[in-house]
Amino acid sequence: MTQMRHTMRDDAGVTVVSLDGELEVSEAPALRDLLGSLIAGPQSRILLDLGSVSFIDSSGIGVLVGAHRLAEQAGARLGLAAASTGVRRVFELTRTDRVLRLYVSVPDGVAALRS
Amino acid sequence: MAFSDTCSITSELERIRDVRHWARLHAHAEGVSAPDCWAVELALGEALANVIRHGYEGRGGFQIQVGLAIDASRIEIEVRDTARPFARDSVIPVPLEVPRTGGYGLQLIEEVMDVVEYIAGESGGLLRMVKLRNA
Repeated sequence: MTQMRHTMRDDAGVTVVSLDGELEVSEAPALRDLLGSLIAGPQSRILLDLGSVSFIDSSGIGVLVGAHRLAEQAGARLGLAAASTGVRRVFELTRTDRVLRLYVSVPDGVAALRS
Repeated sequence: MAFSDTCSITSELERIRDVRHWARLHAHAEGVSAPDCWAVELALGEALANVIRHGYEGRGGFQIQVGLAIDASRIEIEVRDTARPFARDSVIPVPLEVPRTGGYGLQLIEEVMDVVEYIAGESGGLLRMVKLRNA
């Protein structure tokens, strides 16, 4: 299995970051750095497309919670979209589904973050 | 047991992925359901990360042995290390209602596995985890 990859695009002012691979302990530092660089200020609108993330562990959850906090402090908006059943299950088990902005699909997430 | 195998890795976080995949592939080949494969993979990854981060304090080069056994009723994983002993009671549960950036690993293991026990020895520890199939 290769390392996690990502691509970015702008969708009506929302930066959509599509992740591909496993969001696990050895990938967490790189994702933390990436999200930290994207959360620049209150104008930041970032949507992580998790549709191609096949696995997440507690380190991945930790990075997402940290990025969520950073975004809140900056007045920015960070959302997560299209999580698979397994990824959603980890959000549920850690109760982070009650904190993070989760959207069923990328279009739903883009619409919500723009509003 | 219908199937059993072992593998060993050194204590680097980058090695965990290979062991997770090893366990998942064997479990899948033995007909374990997708939810149970997922639980085994998640618990094993968290267990190895805990050993490396807390037991070996992030130092690489130490051996960790993993055993995997599968039969019609259960999947059993054993993780053996030579790190400093771990006491479950020393880990203070943090309410999940408080979102945090770490400390979910042990709670995830205990959520997704049916039996979790740790045996501390003089020269390391043994973590034994059991998932009852289709429980």
